[in-house]
Order: sequence, then structure tokens, then C-alpha cells
Amino acid sequence: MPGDSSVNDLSPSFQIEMPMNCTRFRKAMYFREDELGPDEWREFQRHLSTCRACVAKYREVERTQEVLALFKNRTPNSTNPVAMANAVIGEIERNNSRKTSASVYDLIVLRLGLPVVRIAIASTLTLLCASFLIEYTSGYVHVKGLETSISTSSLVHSDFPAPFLTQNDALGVVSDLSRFATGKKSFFEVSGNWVMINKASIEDFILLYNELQSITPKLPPEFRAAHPQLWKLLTKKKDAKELDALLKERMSLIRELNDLIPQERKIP
Amino acid sequence: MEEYQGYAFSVAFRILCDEEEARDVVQESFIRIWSSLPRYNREMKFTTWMYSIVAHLCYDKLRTRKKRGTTALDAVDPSLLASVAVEHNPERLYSNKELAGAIEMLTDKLPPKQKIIFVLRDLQGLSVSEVSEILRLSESSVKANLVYARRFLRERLVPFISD
Repeated sequence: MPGDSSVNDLSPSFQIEMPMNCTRFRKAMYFREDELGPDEWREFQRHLSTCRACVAKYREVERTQEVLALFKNRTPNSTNPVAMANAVIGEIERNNSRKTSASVYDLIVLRLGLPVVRIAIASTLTLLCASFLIEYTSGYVHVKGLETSISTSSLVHSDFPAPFLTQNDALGVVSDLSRFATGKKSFFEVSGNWVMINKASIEDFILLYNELQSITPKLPPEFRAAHPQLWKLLTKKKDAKELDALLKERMSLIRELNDLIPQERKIP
Repeated sequence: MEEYQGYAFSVAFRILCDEEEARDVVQESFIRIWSSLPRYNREMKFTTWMYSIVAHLCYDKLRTRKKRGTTALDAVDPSLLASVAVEHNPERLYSNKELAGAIEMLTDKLPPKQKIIFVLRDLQGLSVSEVSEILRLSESSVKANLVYARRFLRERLVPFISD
């Protein structure tokens, strides 16, 4: 504890020198027996027994000690020990949680580069919020995990979920139908595991498909050449059955989803 | 923990003469003890280590007070000592709250280091070597500070308590 006005070293002036005089005694009298060496204590006692003036001074010291001894019993209890223990434990837990979050922050932001990481985090959060708002207001319902991921190139109109046909066939069919339907949106847009389902598009597709099926024998050779995949689908019974089954499956899926999804987000 | 908490509180209160501040110091001390446990040197007695943390926190508080020019006992009228009746009966003295307040006021006038040494040695009853270990001072320095503190108190108390 450096730096205050206290005394740093004991004056050696009362080191043992025989015999102890009054000056030395009046410094030594502030010490207790165990603070003086045995020789010093003997000298101290000898002087005390011979010097009346020093006896009077020493009585004052003893009297002060008595008063202070009474004073030292005057300490209040630490009020509620359990409450204090709880406060300490609470504070330690708060410190620990602060440390954990601070250390993660230190690692990511302070050590890995302040401005770049901050901008990157802010941009990502903004993009996420914006894309959520756009999708939420676009009339689509987002259903997680209904489809396995078939494409990493997201939001391409020509994507189509398996297991309709092989993926190449599906892409061809959708491409044909999209063109045939003159600018209508595709019925499925797939992005990772997130599937957007638009009931109106599916109904359009079903109507279109049924109509095409009923007029297949009458379709001109140009149609056959321009839409080979669709032609294949319309004329091969096996594939057509698969498509039927898939469409029925989709419709029943939409009905089931409508039961689960909150009213405000029902599929239109 | 409760047992040690009692020791810590009595030291902090005797040094600071203020219950609220003493409680804060004890709380802070135990938090520091907890966070420093991995660095605890087992060759040192736990109580010595604890007193060391408490004493140093109290020292900081006392120094802050000195800088602000305030003490916990500013409310005590310095003339109290003069007005306290001379009592020769120790029991009466003990019951005399004014005298206790006056003694607190006197000890509060000691420099922070002297006050802490005086409290640890004379009020808490620790040995000189323990005090020197707690405060990381030489024993001769502890003794020298004790002499000054005791003399200071005797000179101011004697007029009121002498026969």
C-alpha cells in the first residue's frame, strides 16, 4: 500500500541498548509483549519498575487499550448472511454470462476485424429481414421441409420438384407448360428446403393438363414438335398416371396444410 | 461461506465504519475470491488471503473518501469527545454510544494504511506477521504504523478517560 502518509519503517531508536531510558521506554510502551523481543521486554519491565513518570504514561496507554478493547466488541452482524450469499452468487452468475457473451463478441468482432464484420452482420440481417418481408407479402405460403432439396439454384421458374419424373424431364415439362400458359407463374418455386405453394397455379395447371389430355388426339404436329416432353407426358399412360397421382397428392397436401396454418396465412 | 462472510464483514465494518459500504466490500471481495480461486496460493491461509482482498478493497474506499474529502463519520460532531462524560466503569463506557462514535471518528482520521493496520492488529486480533502478510508490508513497517496509530489515539482519548 504505497503512497500515503503512513510510516514505512520503524525507527531503530529503541533497539536494545542497556539500560532502557525514558525516551526509549515511551516509544516501546506502545508495543505489546509479543511485539517486543524477550530482551526488550525484560528491559521494558525493569524500567517500568523503577521510573514513576513512565509508569503514569504507561497507565494512560493501558487505559486507552481498555477503552479500545470495549470498542472492538461493537460490530454489527452482517445482517442477513443468506441474502448476502445469494447476492454474491447472483453477481458471479451475472459476471459469468457477461463474460461469455463478451468473449464471443471479442472473438468475432474485436479480434476478427471491427468494421468488416460489423458491416457483414448488419447486411446479412437486413437482407434476411427484407427477403422475409417480400415473401410474406407476395401471397405465397412458406412451408418448411415439404420437399427434399432438388435444386440449389433458387427461384428459377423452370425448377420442378421431384419425384414427378426424372429431374430433366420435369424441367422440360415445366418449361413447356410455362410457355404454353403464356406468362403464368410456375406452380412451384423451390429454394432449398423451403417450398412456396400457390394453389391458383396448381389449379390452373390441372385445368390445362385436363384440357390438353381431352384434346391430345387433335393436337397438331407443331405442338408435338414444340413441346416434346409434354407430348410424352400426355401420350404415355404410365407417366400421366404419375402426374395425376402427384397432383392429387398436392391438393390433399394443401388441404391438410390449410388445417394447420393460421387463418391469416391460409393458402389463397 | 457464511462463516467467512462474518469475518470479512467485521473487518470491513471496523475499517469503514459504515454498514452499507462494508456490505458492498464483502460482496465484491467474495466475487473476487471466486474469480481468483484458480490463482489461489494454497501455501497461504484462506483467511489471510480473504483479509488481504477485503483490506485492499477497503483501502481503495478510504482513499476515495479522502479524495472526496468526506468520511463516513462526517455527521459526528467533533465536540462529542469533549462532551462525553468521563467514565471509569468500563461497562458504562461500552454502553456510551457517543464515546463509541467518537472513537470511530478518531480512527477515521488516521491515514488509510495506519487505520487498516490498527484494525487488523488491535481490533481484529491478528498477529503482526499476519498483518504484514495480508498487506504485503515488512513487519517493521507494520509495527511503525501501529505505534503512530496507537499514539494518535492515546493522545486524543486520554484527556477524557484518564483517572
